[in-house]
Amino acid sequence: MIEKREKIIEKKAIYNLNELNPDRKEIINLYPEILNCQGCNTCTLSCPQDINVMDYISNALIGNIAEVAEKSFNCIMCGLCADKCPAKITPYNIGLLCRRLFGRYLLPKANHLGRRISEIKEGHFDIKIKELKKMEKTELSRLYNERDIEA
Amino acid sequence: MYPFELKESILRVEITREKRLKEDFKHSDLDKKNLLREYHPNFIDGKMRPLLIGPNRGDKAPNELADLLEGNSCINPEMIDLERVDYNVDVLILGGGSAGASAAISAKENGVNVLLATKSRFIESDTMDFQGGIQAAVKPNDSPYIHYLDTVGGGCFVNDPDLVEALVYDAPFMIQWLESLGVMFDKGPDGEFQTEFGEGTSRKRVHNARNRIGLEVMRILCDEVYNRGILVLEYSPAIELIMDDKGQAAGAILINLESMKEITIVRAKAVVLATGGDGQLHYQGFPCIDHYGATADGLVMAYRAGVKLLLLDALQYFPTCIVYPEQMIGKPIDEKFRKFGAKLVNKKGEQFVYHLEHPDILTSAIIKECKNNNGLKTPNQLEGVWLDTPMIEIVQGRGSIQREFPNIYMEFKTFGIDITKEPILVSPSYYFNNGGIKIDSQGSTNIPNLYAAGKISGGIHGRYMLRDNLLLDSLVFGLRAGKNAAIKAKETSQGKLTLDHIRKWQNDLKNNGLVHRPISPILIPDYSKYGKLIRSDWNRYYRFELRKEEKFHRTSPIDVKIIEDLLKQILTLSTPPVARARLLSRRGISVDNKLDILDNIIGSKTCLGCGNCNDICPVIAREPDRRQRTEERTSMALETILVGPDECDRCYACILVCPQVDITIKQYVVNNFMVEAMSKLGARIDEEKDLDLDLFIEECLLY
Repeated sequence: MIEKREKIIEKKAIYNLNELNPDRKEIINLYPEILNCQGCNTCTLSCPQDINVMDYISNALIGNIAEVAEKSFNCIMCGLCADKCPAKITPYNIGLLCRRLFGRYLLPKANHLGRRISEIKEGHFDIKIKELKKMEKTELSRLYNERDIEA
Repeated sequence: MYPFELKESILRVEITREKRLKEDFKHSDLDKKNLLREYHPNFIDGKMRPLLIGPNRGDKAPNELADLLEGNSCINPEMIDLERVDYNVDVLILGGGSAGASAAISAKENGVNVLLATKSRFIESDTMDFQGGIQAAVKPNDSPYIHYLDTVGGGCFVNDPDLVEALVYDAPFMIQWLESLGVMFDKGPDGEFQTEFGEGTSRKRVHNARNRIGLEVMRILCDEVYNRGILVLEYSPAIELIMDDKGQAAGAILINLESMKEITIVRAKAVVLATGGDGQLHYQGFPCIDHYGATADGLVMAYRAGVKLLLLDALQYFPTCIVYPEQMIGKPIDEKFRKFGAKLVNKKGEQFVYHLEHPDILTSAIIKECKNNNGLKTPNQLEGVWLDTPMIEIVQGRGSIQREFPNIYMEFKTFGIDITKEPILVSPSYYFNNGGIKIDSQGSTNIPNLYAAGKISGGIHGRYMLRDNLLLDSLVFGLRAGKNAAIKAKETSQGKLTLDHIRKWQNDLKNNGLVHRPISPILIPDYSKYGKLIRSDWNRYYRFELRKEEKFHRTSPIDVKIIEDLLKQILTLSTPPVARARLLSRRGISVDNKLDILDNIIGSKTCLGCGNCNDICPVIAREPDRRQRTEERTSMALETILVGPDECDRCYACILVCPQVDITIKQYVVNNFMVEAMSKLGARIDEEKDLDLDLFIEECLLY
C-alpha cells in the first residue's frame, strides 16, 4: 500500500506556483503524459464523486483552465482515476494544478482585503483591542449583548 | 426508507403539522439552568472525574479521556536504543491535518529541515469534511474588534485574550495567504468576497468555497507540502515523545501502523504537536464524525511529558445530528434548517422546545425528551426526535429544500427518504473538545521546544467554539507554531536523548496505585465497543453533491490552426496517434469522443471498433503474432499492441484510415507530415536488407 502510494506521489510534478503562467503549455510541460489520453473514459466511470474526469482532462489539454477548475472542484483526491488509467495519467493532480492556477491568477483580486491588512499593520485597532483584553467579564458581556447585528 | 415502527409516528407528525404552523411556540416556564444541570452531558454525575496524577491533578476530565491520560506507556524504555536514530531533522511535525501541514510549510519557509509524520494517508483529516467556513473581518463595516467580541462572547468570556487577539489579527492575513496559494474563494465578478453569516457572528464575515472550504484548503496545503520537498511519513503515528537531559522536547518514537511492530526514532530540535482531536473516544457513547484517527494521542503523549492542559471538561455537543439511516450517523444538520422553519418535534407530534434556542439548551431538551420516553428508537437502539423538514417547504415555498440544501437532500434520497415529505430523525452528537494543551500566542507550550496547534490546543475558543473559527484557529496557530519552532531549532543546543520522563511516569503510576490502567495512546478507536456508532462508509457523503447531468456545448468546430501545436506534439509521440486524432476531431476534445462502441455512435466521434487502424498498421502486418495480445479492434487495442518505446513506425496510416477523424486533421497530416514519414520509412526499408518488400505487401493484403 505504501509503495503504491509512493509511486503515485512520484508522478506529482514539483512546481512553484509563483513562477507559472495560467496556460496550456505549463500543464503539458508539468504533466506531459496528458497527451497520451486514449479517451477510454475509465476515469469517469471509476470516480466516486461522479465527476466527469475525462471531460476535465480534455479541457486541460485545450488549456481551458476555468472549465477544469469548475468541473473538478468536488475531487477528494482519492486517486482511483489514476489507478485505473491505462495511459498512466494522474487526473487528480492535473485538476489540482488547474484549480490552483485558476484561484491564483484567473479569479479577480479583492481590494478591500489589502486595505484591511494595511490597516492592521499600521495598528488601527490596537488601542481598542487592548481595552477589550483588559476588560472584566461583566463589562464584556454588556458590550457583547449590546453589539449591533448586520441586517 | 424509514422502518415500519417509525412510520406511525411520522403520520402523527403530519397530522399535527397544520396546528404547529399556526401556533407560535413560546416556552414561558422553561427553567434553563435546571434543564442544563439535569440533562446536559457535561453536567451528568459520574461521567467526569478528577485526574489523579500528572500536571493537571485535580482537574475534571471525561472518564474515557482520563483513563487514557492516566494510562500505561506502550513502550519499555529499557528496550529502546536511542542511539540508533533513523531520522535526524530540525523540526518534527506530528499530524497531517491543516495545522500540521501549515506548520510544515512555515517551518520550511524559515529554512530548516522538516519531517512530517501522520497516522494515515497524508490528506485524510478532519479538515477534509469540515462543514463551516473561515471567519475574517475584511469588509469595511467589520473590524477585528467586533470579531474579538463575537468570539469571546461565544466562548463565555473564558477565552485566553492573547490567543483571541492573535486569531482576529491574523485572520485577514490567512485569507491573503490562502488566496496566494490558489484557493478558489467564493467571489463576486469584481473580486469582492461573498461572505455569509456564521454561528454567532454579528457581521457577514464567513468566507467559503462552495461549502467545501476544508476540502479545498487541505488539498492545496498537501500539494504545497510536496512541492516544497518536505519529507512525509505516512501510516506512522507517534507513540511517545523523546526528551533530552535539559528537559527539552527532542523528537518522537513513531510506529509503523501496518505491521504495528517496527519503530522509527526521529531526533528533532523542535517538535510541533498537531495530532488533532478526540472525537473517536465517543464520550458517553455519543456519535461523532471526526476522522477515525482522532483518538487524543497527542494529549496523552504530551501529558506524560509534563505539558499543562486546560478546560478538559468543556466538551461541545451539536444538538441536531442524523441518527437514521445509520450510514450517516453523527452528521450535523446545520442551524440553517431551523432558521428556515424546521421545528423539533417528539414522538407524539408536539413541539417541545423553541427551535432557535442556544445549542446547549437544545441538546439538553432533546436528551430530556428521549429520557421521558417521548423520543424514537431506531433499529440500532439509538434514540432521537424529529426535525420537521417538510415545514420548510410550507413556510418558504415549494422546492426551497432542494435549492438551499441540495447535498443533504441528495444524500437522503439515496437511502429512499424524501426530506421534503418526511422529517429527519436527529439527536445530539459529540462535536468538539474546547480544552487541550495550554499554548501561548506563539504556539509554544510549557515544555521548551514543544509547540502545539490545531484541535489539540485549548483556550482559544473558551467554553464554546464558534464553528467558523475552527479552521482559522488551525491555520493561524499552525503557521505561528511552525515559524517559532524553526527559529527555536536554529538556536537551540540539544543534550543527550532520554526517555526518563516515561520511567518517572511509570513510577508515579505505581506510587499512586494506578498500575491497572489501559495502555495508551490507543491509535485506533475501539470498534468492538462503539461499533454501532462507527459510520461504515464515513467518506461517502461527498459523492452525492453533483448528480445533475453535466453537458457542455462547444458548437463551433475547432480550427486546425488553434490546435496546431498540440497536434504537432501528439504526432511526434512514440505511440500510435489515431486515438488522439480522433479525440481532437469535430468539436475539439470532448466526452462525446470517448471509447464507447456500444451506444451513441451516430453523430459523435466515438471509436466505432471498426478495426481499420489495426488492419492498416504496418507493424502488426510485419509481426502478426502481436494480434494475439487482444481480441479487440479499437483504437485503444492498437495502443496495447504497440506498447514498447518507438515501436510505432509513425506512418500516420491509422489516422488516414479512421472514419471518425476529421478531414481537416487528415489534410493537415498529409500536408505536413506525410512526405517526411514516407521518406523515413523508405530509408528504413533500404537499411534493413533482409526485409522482403514483397512479403510485406503480401501480408498487408492478407489481413
